Amino acid sequence: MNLALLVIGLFVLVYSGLLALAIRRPLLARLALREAVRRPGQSAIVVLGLMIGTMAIFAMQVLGDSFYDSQTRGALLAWGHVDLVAADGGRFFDPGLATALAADPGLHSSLSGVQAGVELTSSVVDLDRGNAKPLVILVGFDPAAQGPFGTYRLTDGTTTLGQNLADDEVLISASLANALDARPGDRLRVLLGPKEAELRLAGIAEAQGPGAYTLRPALFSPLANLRPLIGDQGINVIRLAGHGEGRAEMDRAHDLAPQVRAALQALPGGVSLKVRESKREDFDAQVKQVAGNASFYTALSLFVALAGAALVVNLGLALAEERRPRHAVLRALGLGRAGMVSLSVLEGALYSVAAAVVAIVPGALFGLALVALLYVRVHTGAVESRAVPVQYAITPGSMAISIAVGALIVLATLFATSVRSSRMQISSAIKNLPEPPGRRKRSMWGTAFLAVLGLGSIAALIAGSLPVRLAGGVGLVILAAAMVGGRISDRLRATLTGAALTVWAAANLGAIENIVSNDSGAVILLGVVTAVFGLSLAVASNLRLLELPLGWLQGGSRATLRPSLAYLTRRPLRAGLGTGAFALILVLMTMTSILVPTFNGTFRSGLNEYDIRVDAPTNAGLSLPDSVRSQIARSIAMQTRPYRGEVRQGGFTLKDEYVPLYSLSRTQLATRPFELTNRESRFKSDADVWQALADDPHLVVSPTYTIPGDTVTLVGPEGPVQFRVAAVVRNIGLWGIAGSEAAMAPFATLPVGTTILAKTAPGADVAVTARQIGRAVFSQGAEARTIKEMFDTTSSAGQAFTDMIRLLMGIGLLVGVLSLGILALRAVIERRRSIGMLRALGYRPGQVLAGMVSEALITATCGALVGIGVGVPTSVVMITGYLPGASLEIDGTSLTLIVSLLYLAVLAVTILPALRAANLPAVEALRLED
Amino acid sequence: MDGAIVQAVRLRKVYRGANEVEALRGIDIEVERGEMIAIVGPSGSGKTTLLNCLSGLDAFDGGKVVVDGQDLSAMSDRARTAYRRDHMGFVFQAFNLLPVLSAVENVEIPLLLQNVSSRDSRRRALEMLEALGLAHRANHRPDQLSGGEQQRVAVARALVHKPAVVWADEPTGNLDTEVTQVIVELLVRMNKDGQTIVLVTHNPQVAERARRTLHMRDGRIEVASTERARAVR
Repeated sequence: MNLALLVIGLFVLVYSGLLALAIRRPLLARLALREAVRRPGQSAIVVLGLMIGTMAIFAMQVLGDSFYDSQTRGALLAWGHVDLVAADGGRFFDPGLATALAADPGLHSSLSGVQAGVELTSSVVDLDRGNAKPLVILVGFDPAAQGPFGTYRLTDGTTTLGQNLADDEVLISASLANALDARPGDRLRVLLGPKEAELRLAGIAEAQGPGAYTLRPALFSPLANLRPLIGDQGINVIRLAGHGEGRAEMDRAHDLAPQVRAALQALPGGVSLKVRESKREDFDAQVKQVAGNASFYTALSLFVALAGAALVVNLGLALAEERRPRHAVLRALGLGRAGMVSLSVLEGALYSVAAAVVAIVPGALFGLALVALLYVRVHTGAVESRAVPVQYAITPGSMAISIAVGALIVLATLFATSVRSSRMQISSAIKNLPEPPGRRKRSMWGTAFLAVLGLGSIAALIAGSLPVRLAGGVGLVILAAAMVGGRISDRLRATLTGAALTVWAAANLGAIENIVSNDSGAVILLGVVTAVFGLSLAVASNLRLLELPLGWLQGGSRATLRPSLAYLTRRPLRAGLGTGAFALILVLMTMTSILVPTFNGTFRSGLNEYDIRVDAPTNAGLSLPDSVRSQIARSIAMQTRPYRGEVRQGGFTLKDEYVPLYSLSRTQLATRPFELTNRESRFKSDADVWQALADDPHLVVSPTYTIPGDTVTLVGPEGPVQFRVAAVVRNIGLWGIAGSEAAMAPFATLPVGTTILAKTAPGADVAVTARQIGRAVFSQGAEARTIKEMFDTTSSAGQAFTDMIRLLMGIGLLVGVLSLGILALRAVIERRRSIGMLRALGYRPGQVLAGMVSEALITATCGALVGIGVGVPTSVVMITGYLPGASLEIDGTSLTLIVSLLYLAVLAVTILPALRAANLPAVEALRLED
Repeated sequence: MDGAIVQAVRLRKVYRGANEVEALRGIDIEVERGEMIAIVGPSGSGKTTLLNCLSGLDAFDGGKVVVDGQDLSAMSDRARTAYRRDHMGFVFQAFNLLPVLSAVENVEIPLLLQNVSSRDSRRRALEMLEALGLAHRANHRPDQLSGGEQQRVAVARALVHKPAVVWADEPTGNLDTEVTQVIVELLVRMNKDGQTIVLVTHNPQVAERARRTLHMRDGRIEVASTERARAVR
């Protein structure tokens, strides 16, 4: 069953049950409603606090939906009406096959169109503007068969099927026009290997219909006009279109594919052609990729929801404490514990639904802002990514799921809180006296739960994988904590439990062997949460140690801080949850402040090796111009093939990717041409890696695929070709895959070009030199750029992820900050009489204010320390796994900024409640409430 | 007199903590049906603890309590809750009305907990308020009532479901002399109508109106019960 439907079904079931309960027990319903509306301002604040989880979840849903719509629409746009593609791995074949296929009586009525075509990677030079663009897709089409594939709409408002183009006229895509700054009428030189042709730009096609084909810089030309470039070789692709639009069209094409294959088999020369459901495969791959990313986004939002749950628990406990005497009266009058819990849950249901519904608008706005800020950056690679137009999506389904998940999390948390707070000694609670000490007898259910927990935990420890073992250990620690309850002091119990959880989490994080495994991700997530709450519990239960330095303070200051510390110490659970909520968020903030700078630093250091890249994808003999020789200290020229197609790696499949394939000669390999950052553990030195590359045609090095030992699969003319990443190259200029000539042999049918990486001589300006090279080689269809530009583009994608995490965690911090503000506000209500008493005893308003603010600041400080304390070692574990030997870099500025902002925000939200407390007239505060 | 409605035998209650305190040290007590008993004694003598244990609000550590033939010591928390709901009424020093409900809504709580229909609950709650002279304040919330009115509403709440025993812990502790008199007269009137009442008080004038007074000190009943209320009445 669909998980979303399950969640929504559960929501409907739970809330229907609560509605039935409300109808059956009108007294409880009335009380719940009256409590909720009694103090609208306070209820609004409670709702505000509870809505954060839903807001984060919905924002991530909007992000996921928008990315989904963008990517899938991108796939549809990129292929247009080209549903099926028949090709022979890039080799040319007889165009008569297309004609025969179109005439096939079995297919004639089922197919909307069949078109002979050519698709090649070329370079284009605009001779009038003096600009060149390598990696341009040359799309040759048959104007006579273009109708079913759509009409080109040009920027001047006219439309064409290509039949009116003269024999030297071509169209180009808007993105190519943009890159060349081209205008209609310009002379274009198109380079394809050793051949070149001069053509005239008839028009610029808008990015719709066939003009959007490939969604990359493209040149569209009638087949006949390409004769100077391809001669009489024929065609290398047959495009086929099904009837209809969108998904229906893909489905029809899917049904037709076997017939097309059968028809080709029957044609002379058609046996070698492979038929691919190009659009559908691409579409499905995008769906899969987006779904994978969506899990990551959801995990992030659940992190915030978890911090939000800590706030909910605190709010629940605060509300329960405030209402304890009233609830005790109801218990005295005969309301059972179940009734008590029902009452709290009914009230919680009102808050949770209100909060979930209210959260939708800010969640949507935040999600849309994230999409606007991040989409282009996340999806732009170093080499010719698709230019996919961003789609913004807010779907009713996601809205329903977010409301359901948000409300259920809040309700479940309030339920657990109310079960705990319904345990009370009635006589004490009626008089608002503290619970008397003493051991409670464990209920039968409690004993059964602990037994199951113990057995489950032992089983997990014995039989489980690393994350399951981690969970098992956590279960045992909780069991032990429950068993010693009442036998040792609560403080010692909390300290030992917290310490045990922290040590266990650290031991498991340290035990990770393969950082790229799925298990390691789960261990890191679980380990971080365990360590954070363990450490928070240990810290919160020992806050009284802060009383020691209090002794050094003067009397006034000591008196000011003592009640605050007493409140924090007396409620270790509340203080621990507050600390934990902050810490959880700061862990991720800390990790982003370490991981990204360290990764970037590692690759940035590669810029010292080479700093200019010259690309000539269709020119095998390119060399650096003599005019810049003096400015170049060293260089390396490599044969390069512009692979475009399917890439499988790490469980993901991308259907239409550019991957430059670099062939390194034996001589080049012998010189150990690039610095490596990381290699497979089986290689003892970098020299071993280069030697292995020379010997093994399956081994490659790359700065793009950064996990040594990982497999990257491309599809060559003869089928899939698997490469194993032996080591990671530090220089981002080698974007793609580099291997021996033997390794790249399966792609021999691709055009051969040149890539030159150069290091400027000391004193030479990199940007100026790159421009000089660019001017000298542009007429050969080559482009020169600084590797720093490439680095900035690729690190921008990483930075975009960091920004997203930080923005989301910003909401998490907001949870923590709001939590302290709300708790401060509730504290004013809850401690009204205590404040009155303190004022009566002679506390000045300033002392009351300072006491309340310092309570919040102590919690925030503990949270920051725990967060950074867990974040740093976790980052070290990850860096050691991903980039062993890399020097750790910490973005101290942004971390300091985050912590400073945190303090400011805490001050801002607590100052008003604290002022309110400080200004309470003593006599009024001392009066009994209500 | 119709025989004992409350019986406690060797009742013990210990508060455990850093220092153990034996709050009740083997108390034996009987309350006759229709009786009005006052428990008096200095602070910390155990009178409220005794009331809490007899009424089933608190668990105890030794001995036995039987109310109207039901052994409270043998009951689970759930059963004790149900027993309180059906057979007992409470009046507290601080009134303890629910601030979110009006006077009549507060009074009807015990009836609604017994699953009496909404219509009957409302009717009986209004009748009770009328009997106590508060019909005109039925729709006022507690914060709109005076202290005396609040306590009268609390008394109405304690009586509305015709409990076997009404337990009152310092019912006049928060009231002035004049209002105290009103509340005491009210309790006496209810007792005359046959309602068993056990109250804890510091106020000798209130204790004087009870038929019997138990003097407590250090967790024990120090002075034997005195029969006098009948003469006063």
